[in-house]
This record gives sequence, structure tokens and C-alpha cells, in this order.
Amino acid sequence: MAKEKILVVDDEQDIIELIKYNLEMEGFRVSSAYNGEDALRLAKRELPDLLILDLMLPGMDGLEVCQVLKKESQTNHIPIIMLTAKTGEPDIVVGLELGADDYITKPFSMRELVARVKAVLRRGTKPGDVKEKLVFGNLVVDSANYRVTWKGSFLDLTPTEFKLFFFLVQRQGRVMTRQQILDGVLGDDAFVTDRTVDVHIRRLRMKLKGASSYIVTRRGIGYMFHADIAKEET
Amino acid sequence: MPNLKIVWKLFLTQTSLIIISLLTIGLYAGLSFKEHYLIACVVMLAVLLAVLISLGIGFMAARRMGKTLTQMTQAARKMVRGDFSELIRTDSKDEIGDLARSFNAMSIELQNKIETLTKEIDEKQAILSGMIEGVIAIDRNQRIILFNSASEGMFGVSSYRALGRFHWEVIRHSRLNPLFQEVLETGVPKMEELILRYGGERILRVQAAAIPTKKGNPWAVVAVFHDITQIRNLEKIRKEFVANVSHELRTPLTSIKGFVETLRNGAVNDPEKSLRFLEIIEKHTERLNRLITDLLNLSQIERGKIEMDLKPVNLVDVTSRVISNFKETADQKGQKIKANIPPVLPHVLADEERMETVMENLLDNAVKYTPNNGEITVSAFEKDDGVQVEVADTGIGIPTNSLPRIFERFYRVDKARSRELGGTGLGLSIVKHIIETHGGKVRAESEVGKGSRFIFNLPKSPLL
Ligand SMILES: Nc1ncnc2c1ncn2[C@@H]1O[C@H](COP(=O)(O)OP(=O)(O)O)[C@@H](O)[C@H]1O
Ligand SMILES: [Mg+2]
Repeated sequence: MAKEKILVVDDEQDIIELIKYNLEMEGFRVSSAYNGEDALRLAKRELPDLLILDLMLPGMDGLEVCQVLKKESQTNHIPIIMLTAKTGEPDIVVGLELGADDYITKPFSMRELVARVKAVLRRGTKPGDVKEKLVFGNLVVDSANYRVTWKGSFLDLTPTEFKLFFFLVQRQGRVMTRQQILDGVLGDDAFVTDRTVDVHIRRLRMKLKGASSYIVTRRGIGYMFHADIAKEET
Repeated sequence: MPNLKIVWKLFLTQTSLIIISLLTIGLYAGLSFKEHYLIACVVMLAVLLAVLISLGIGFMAARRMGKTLTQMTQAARKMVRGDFSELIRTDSKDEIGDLARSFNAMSIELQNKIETLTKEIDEKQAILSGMIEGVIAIDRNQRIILFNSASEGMFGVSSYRALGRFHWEVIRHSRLNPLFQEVLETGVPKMEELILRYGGERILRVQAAAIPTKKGNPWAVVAVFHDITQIRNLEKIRKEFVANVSHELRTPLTSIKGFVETLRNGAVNDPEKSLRFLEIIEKHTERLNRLITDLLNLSQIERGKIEMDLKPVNLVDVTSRVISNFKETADQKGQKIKANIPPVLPHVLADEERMETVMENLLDNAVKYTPNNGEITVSAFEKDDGVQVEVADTGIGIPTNSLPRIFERFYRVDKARSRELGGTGLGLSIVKHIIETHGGKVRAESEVGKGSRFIFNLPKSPLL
């Protein structure tokens, strides 16, 4: 099977060389661009399976590239992992809300980057492949019956908790900002804040017991469901 | 003359009373008609005399009293108009005299009181208008009763137009108008930050407090406005700088960390790749080192004059020394460095080491941003009030729209190129800082493709 094609965009040649070398060692095909304009052109022409996009680019910056790609039907399914040298920046939240899937802050470890790449690629890139029963090792999520089982035993979740969990499961490999979770799950509630999301997640994790590590916290940004987490936590 | 009428009435009552009493006494005493008549005549005469005399006296008194009263009326009228110059002249010892004297005393007392009050008001007015903070007060009906001159500047309204009008008529602001109302209703002081769009964006911190009556309910609200735009801007610049530094540090670190990890994960077994990756690691280590040196330099310079070692400096020595340091690099690129420097120059009062830093940065840029076989010219000459030094090159030049920004920290025309050449983006900001703390000026001229010229001026040392 031909390996996935990844487009890497960064204005630092050395960082491109670094990422390219490592991804190629993993068997991916890699192309690269040094600025936003070239990135757009290449993305449209090559339709890669994934984009690794630095946010700070000369001229057209990463967020703009992200916005354009997510707007066009031809490219809006391409998952995007943002690269940024700033932590806790509003840029990350903006990028995620524009539709980027994940982000990674410089300096990063190559192992971490490869893991994120695989996690994003693991979930189907094509929309509409939501199954009724999702199985992740010992975890089974049955959306038809609103049931979650962990190691064979049924977990007692309230409807809101199930909704929250299922929201993240459906978007596995994608970081959801607190705002996105609010809008998608808890929106009807009148008195919700960012803190409310944290409280709900904490309660959900308690009930998930051993399966709670499937939910990953991205400090200051949001949460994501990571299917491979058990394998990667060493 | 109303006072004559009084005198006449007085006289009539007096006479008739006397006649009646006399007649009564006579009747009781049982006097004969003749005796009666005689007495009556004498009495009548006496009374007539008395009346005439009293009439005369009364008339004179009345005239004097009338004059004093008229004077007092006039003086009072003037007092109403604020003129306290008129005092009542009187030397009489009677009640009218007393009244006139009390009137005078009152007038003087009033005048003093009013003067003190006016002075107090003037002082307060002077303080209010001298304040850089805007002060606005509204009364219970939300009408403006105070609008000092700083608020005139802040809101672009004259106090003449603001006074007496509702605050929302004078200043329309979605946060300020409710704030006034709230403080007036609750009496609880409040502080808020407002963004004002009048005359460029300004950030104001407003502190509003209610002034209560004796009963405790608010009768007015006073709001004080501090313009904190500059403080906020400085904070913003600081934050941006920290973010920039963090970005600049993370970028080389990413390469170092990434390639070390890559080598460890197996690339070390590929001799060709290992060598290449190690070179990259080394390059970024050097870059980190330069960045840290420049940052330290910058922070030292920013601490200002205190840390400078000021002495009369001979720029001829400094420039020649730095030029010779760059000879080798220039030779490698086939570049010529020409020195256009007179044998003697007036000394400048400067920190010699920092002057070297300036020349190093300018020459480093000239060599870096000039292609092979280009030419670099360093000139220095005396100007009327100091010394001027120029570093000119025949290099790539700087686009016009970038020219005003090249002295900013971390600004580069072409980031990737600057980094490849080992730049930090801090060199020119260091140059500018040093020159300016020495009381000098630096500027750049350039034409893309032709070359650039950096010019700085320093004042002559006052010691020589
Ligand atoms: N002599 C020059 N010719 C052309 N461009 C220059 C020259 N000097 C400075 N510049 C421009 O100004 C930018 C800022 O200069 P500097 O602060 O010294 O940073 P750098 O570390 O990039 O040299 C440079 O990146 C370059 O784009
Ligand atoms: Mg420089």
C-alpha cells in the first residue's frame, strides 16, 4: 500500500529537512513549501493526506492558509497539524476553530510529531464514515444505544456525559477547544463557561475509570480523544 | 417726601391728646370758664410752641435719616452687583447711626467672605484645569456640572458646550453612560477601562464615585479619567518582545533537539547524514549563542547612561580597528573596504566599547548584505556640532517600505536570508540604542539593488 503524502510548510529550511527526513524514514511521501502562497498551490495540486503547517510564515501566514484550505470543498477534508513557536497563544485556538486538527509547539520531539501524524491519519479523512459501534481495544462506544463498555463492563454515563464523550470520540485525533465543546455539547445550558467544560470532563474521566486516558488534555486549549494513547504512553 | 407725612401725623396726635387731657383735667378740677379759658390759651400756646419746635427738630432729623436710608439703599444695590466700595458716612449717635455703622461692618465682612470664597474657587479651578486627568461631574439629573480642561482634550468637547447638558448628549460611549447612571443609582464607586476612539485609539481608566448628601443619597457623581494608553502600549511592546524572544530561541532549539534525536534514532549510522546533521546542529548552537549575546547587550544598553563608561573617544582609532577586523571576511568575498577618514577628528564623549559595537554591527551588515566583489566605504568627518560617520555599501539595498522599520528589534527584510547569514535581527536596534543614549542620531538611506548607507552623528565631547 502506498504510504500517505504529507506536505510540510515552514520558512526554516533546516526544520523542513528535519521533518522530511523523519517522516520519510517512517515511509511517508513528503513535499515541502517555504511560504503560504506555495503551500496553497501545492496543497491544491497534490491534495496531500496531511498538512504540517507552521503558523509564522513570511507574507501569507499559516492561519490564512488554514482558512483558505478549510473553505474550499476540494481541500477542506485535508487534516492540518499546526506548528508554532508560541505556547498558549490565541493563534492556536483560532487555528483549531478554523478547522485545524492538532498543533505541536516548538521545540518538539520527533517521536511526538510522528505520533500525532499517525493519530490524525488513523481516523478516516473522508467524511461520513461514522459507524454505530466504535471499538478501541477494550473500549466500545455504541452510539445507537448510548452505551459505553470498558473491558466488558458497562459504564454508567448520564446523557450529557455520553454526549460529551461521543462528541470527542467522533472527532478522534482532533483537538477540540473548550468553545467548540461548549457549542457542540453543552450549548443549551444557560450558565456555561470554559470552566464548565473542565468540570464536565473531570466528571466524565472519573466515570471512565481506566479508559479515561483516552481523553488527552491540551493545557490551556482543549481536549481530544486519542485512540492510540494506551500504546504510546511509555 | 414720605418722612414729612410721618412728622405731620405725629404732631396732630400729640396736640389733640394734650387738648383732650387738659379739658378732662379742668372739668374734674371744677375751674371756672374764665380760668379754664386762660389755662387753655396758655397751654395751647405752649403746645403750639412745642409743636413748632418739635416739628423743626423732627423735620431736620427726618431729613438726615432719609439721607442715610437712601445711601444705604444705594449701597445695598451696589452690593448686589458685587461692588463693596461704598460705605455709609454718618456721625450721628442715634439708632440710624448705629444701623449705618452695622451696615458698614456687614459690608466689609461680606466682602472678605466673598473674596476668600472666590479665591478658594479659583484655586480649585486652577488645580482642576491643571490636572492631566480628566474630571467630569454630573448632578442628580445626570447633567454635567463640571468639565475640566483635560476632559476637553480627551473628549474633544469644550466645557462651555458640555456644562448643563446630559452626559450622553456630550459623550456617547456604550460603557461610560451606563457607568455614570449606575454609580448615581447605587452610590458604589466603580473603576473601569474604556477604549475611546476619538482622535486615534486611547485607553482610559475611569474611576467614578458618588458624592452623597447629608442624608446619604447621591447628589452627584465625579469621574476621574486617566489616560493609560502609553502604559498599555509599553506593556504590549514588552509582551511582543518576550513573544519574539521566545520564538527566536525556540527556532534554533527545535533544530538542535530534532537533529540530536534523529541522530540517536539511527541516523548516526549514516556517516554522510551524520556529518550534515551535526553541521546543522553546530550552526544553530552558534545562532543561539549570538542571540543570547545580543539580548544581553540590548538589556545592558537599555539600562541607559548609568552603565556607560563615558570618556573622550577618538573615532579614528575605533573605526580603523574595526575595519581591520573585517578585512579577512571581506577579502574572502572579494570585497574592498575603503576608509575615508581624516587623520584627526574631534573627540566624542562616548563609551569606547559601545562605539566598537556600533561599527561592528554596521560593517557586519554591509559585508553580509553585499554580494561578492562589492565595495564598502567607511567615511568620517567633522560637522559643525559633532562628528558624522557613514558606512556605505554596494549591496542588495533595502526596500523603501522596510526602511523605516529596520531599526526595530527582530525586524528583518528577509527573515530566512538573515538567519542563513547568522543574523539575529537585533544588530541595528542595538546600534540605534547606543547612538541615542550618546545623544546622537542614526539613519539609513538605500536603494534596492544599488546599495545602502548608514549615517550616524555624535556630539563633540564638551571636555575638549
Ligand atoms: N547594509 C545593509 N544592506 C541591506 N540590508 C540591510 C543592511 N543592513 C541591515 N539590513 C536589513 O536590516 C535588517 C536588520 O538588520 P540587523 O538589525 O542588523 O539584523 P540582522 O541580524 O538580520 O543583520 C536585516 O535583516 C536586513 O534585512
Ligand atoms: Mg546585523
